[in-house]
Amino acid sequence: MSYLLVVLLLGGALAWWSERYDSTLPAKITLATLTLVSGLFIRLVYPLVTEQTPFAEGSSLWLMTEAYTWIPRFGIQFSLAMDGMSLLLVGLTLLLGFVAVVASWSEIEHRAGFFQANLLWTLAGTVGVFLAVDLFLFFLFWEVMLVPMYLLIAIWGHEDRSRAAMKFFIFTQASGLLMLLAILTTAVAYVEQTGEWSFSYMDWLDQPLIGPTASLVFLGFLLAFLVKLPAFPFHSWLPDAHTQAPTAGSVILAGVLLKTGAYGLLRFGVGLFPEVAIAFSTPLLVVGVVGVLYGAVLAFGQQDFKRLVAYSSVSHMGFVLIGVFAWNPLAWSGAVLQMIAHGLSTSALFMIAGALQHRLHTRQLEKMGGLWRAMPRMGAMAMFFIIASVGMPGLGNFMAEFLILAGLFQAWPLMSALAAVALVTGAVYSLSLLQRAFHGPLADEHTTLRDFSTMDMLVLGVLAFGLLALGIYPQPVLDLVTPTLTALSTMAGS
Amino acid sequence: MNVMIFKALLPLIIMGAGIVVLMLQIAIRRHHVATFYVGIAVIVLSLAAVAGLSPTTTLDATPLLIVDNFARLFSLLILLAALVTLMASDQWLRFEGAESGEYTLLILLATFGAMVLVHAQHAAAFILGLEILGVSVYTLIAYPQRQAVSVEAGLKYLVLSSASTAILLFGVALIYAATGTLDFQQMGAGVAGANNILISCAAILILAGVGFKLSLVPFHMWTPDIYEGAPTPVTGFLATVSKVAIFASLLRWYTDARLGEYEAVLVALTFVAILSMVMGNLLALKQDNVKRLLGYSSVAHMGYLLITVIIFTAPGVADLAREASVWYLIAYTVSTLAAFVALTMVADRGAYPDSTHREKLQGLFWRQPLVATLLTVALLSLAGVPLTAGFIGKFYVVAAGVDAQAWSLLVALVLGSAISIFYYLRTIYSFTGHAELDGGGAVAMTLMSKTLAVILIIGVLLLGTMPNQLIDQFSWIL
Repeated sequence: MSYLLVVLLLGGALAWWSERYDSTLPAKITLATLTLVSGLFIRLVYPLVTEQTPFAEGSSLWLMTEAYTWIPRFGIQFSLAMDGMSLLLVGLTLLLGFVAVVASWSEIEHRAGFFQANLLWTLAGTVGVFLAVDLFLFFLFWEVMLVPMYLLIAIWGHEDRSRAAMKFFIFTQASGLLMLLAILTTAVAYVEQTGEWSFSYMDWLDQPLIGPTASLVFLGFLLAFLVKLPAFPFHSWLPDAHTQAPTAGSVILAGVLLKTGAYGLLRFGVGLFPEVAIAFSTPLLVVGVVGVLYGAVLAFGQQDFKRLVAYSSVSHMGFVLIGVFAWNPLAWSGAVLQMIAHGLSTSALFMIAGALQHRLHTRQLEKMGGLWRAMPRMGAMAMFFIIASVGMPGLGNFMAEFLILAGLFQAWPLMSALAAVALVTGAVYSLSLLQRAFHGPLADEHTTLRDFSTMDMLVLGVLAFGLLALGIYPQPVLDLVTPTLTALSTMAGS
Repeated sequence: MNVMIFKALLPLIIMGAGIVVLMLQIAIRRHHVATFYVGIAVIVLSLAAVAGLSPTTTLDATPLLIVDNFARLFSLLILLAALVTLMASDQWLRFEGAESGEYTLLILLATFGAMVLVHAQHAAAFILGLEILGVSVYTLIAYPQRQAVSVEAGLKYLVLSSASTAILLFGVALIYAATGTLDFQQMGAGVAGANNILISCAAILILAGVGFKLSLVPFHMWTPDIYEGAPTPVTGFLATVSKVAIFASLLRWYTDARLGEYEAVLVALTFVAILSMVMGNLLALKQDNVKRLLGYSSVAHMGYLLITVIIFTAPGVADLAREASVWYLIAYTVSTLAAFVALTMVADRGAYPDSTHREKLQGLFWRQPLVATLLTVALLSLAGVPLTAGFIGKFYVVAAGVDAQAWSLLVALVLGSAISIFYYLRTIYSFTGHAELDGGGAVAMTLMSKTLAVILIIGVLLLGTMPNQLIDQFSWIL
């Protein structure tokens, strides 16, 4: 597994270096790197996914593990492991990597090499977050993926990039420091119990932390994950960062980076401190429902295409939070599905928003209108993804939100009913977005706009196919994550 | 003096003799290149002598000086920092057209003083080392005599530093009155039993004096002016060599002379540490000149470092705390040195001392990519971002703090670090600007500057990614 990371990092360096020879070379190198990594990834996981044995035995939920000694003084290992959940999320990361490269293909002209390098390094950091099972390593990737992302926003962002990039970095870094404190507190408690240093997730599972310290430590982890998710009231960095980031940055940010928060919540928050997490579930469900509704209301008020999609992310990610703390395998499956479906649909919407800004030099919805006639391909794609994010039955987002609400309803009918309101408000803001941008009279200066190219259509087509597949036949995906979720619920039960 | 003692003291003897050789060389013929190489040779020889000592040696070489692993490690750090300073100064001296003879001599003298300080096991040696270091640094700060701001800074440091030394001396006198000895170990034996108000007062006075040199709040007022006014390589020297040496002697006061066993001292230090972490970072927010900014940020870093000293007496934490303080000091030294070397390479190019103003660094990434990368890596390391030396340092400090359950100090650390990210990042952000400045890139970097920059970048990253190699070395310190 580690060679996936190495290839991504080296590819980034190569793309940067190639800038001096030709400004179109970096994007090609990035594409080649991604293709190589995806090929390696498929070769790695294909035999595991097709044969049923690793799950059938029930001995371990890990499909594969890999570990090297790194800092023996603290028992820190460079250890990676992949289960069904991380497999899906790494796959999503690589897929959205392609989307980001295609989105930046003609958009980025200034310092293209350094741009592509930062893109690949962000992806490397994210893949690392999804694979690391040593908490020190996890924290390292968690922080390291921020630096290239910060640079992407700060150098290639739009008019207010400096403030947005700064806000993004400070929110995530400050909450990350609390997580470091939490990690070290757990590690020291582990030393006191066993006499040895270890940051390994598996070791920590064997020696669960209990007592009042556990609550504080859980809060440290929780805050970092809630900021990243983002949950109300820690979401205020997100609209700025999404709006100001270049298209590729928004795609990665919305599609993958937010998922690291949800992933961390499930794997480390719930996994390491199940009892504390259960105790905290009522307030967290309230936070989730408030986020769902608040995000929807704010999205409706936006005039800026990207800002609207950003606030809709707050709403959709609120569903993930609800799903995690519903304590129900059904809702957990829904949360994982929502991560993937939201990743696919939102990154497609950001790609469309970026394409519009590239052509119209504005993100303001009042300056758009009637664009369907000028760009029918883009219009059709926009309609598909907007309908998907509304939660149209038959598409992935519906399946995810339905599972979450159904799981939640068993124990918390009122919360479930409140959250379901968001399906209505979601339709309101999403359809108004479609209407304001693509219907109505077409401005004269917009009649000659260039429509999506075949490459754009191909990429969006893949995303659309993914959403359809998730909506119609999600079982293979659910099968992949079931062992992980079953393991979590056994832990929570005991 | 037998052979063993001679060998143990050889690094100090080489420095002393080297200074005389350099003076002779200057007296015979002033020559920039010759001076430079004599200076480098003296430091390298002394480094070799330190490295050649067998790791287990602990020797009361004289009643004043002890040669142990602790002194050995800090000598290595000080000599390396001095070497980097000399190499970085070369280009600056040529550019300014300043006389290099006295400059090199003063750097060697200050390094010698710092080495005496880390070997001191007696208050007399401590004061001697402190003054050799101090007097050389005053002169170095005011070295560009035509720059009013440098002379002002030199004078300020002279007056304030002398006052703080006086306070410190008074503290030492009080301890002598209470215990009747100036030897640290014997002092410790006297201090340990007696719960004496005289000793509490003396300890506070000594810590005030040391706190001034480390620029801890509330003794930090001088820091930004002197950081700004001093020539950039000298600022780097002051921020690293001088602080390392004084911190090392603080550890000796704290452990050997056992001042740390007094409740009053602990409380005072805790307040000083929290104030330094919070105030240092808050004040750094307002700075536009990167040198001033680093001045205030060093206040905060000394605050972080102080955590490791305060928790030293907590049960079962001493080993981890000692490791943490050594690691943090190494990480701080490497990162700070890297930052000032980068600023020296920038400062070459514009009107001194404004050339380190944030506005003037606009677009550095595109004008001087190597220097910009060096400065970025250094600042990220100071901010404690993973993969850099600074992160491992911070990791150690937090680990030790958690182990000692020093929550109030850790909260201040987290708060301070969160604030610090803002100003480090804002500085880095300015490098990405598009502004074209006149005179940018006018002076080509020498091969030596380039090599130095690359070595420092690799050094900061290697310490951050493969810390175990260095951690393994700690077995002989502990």
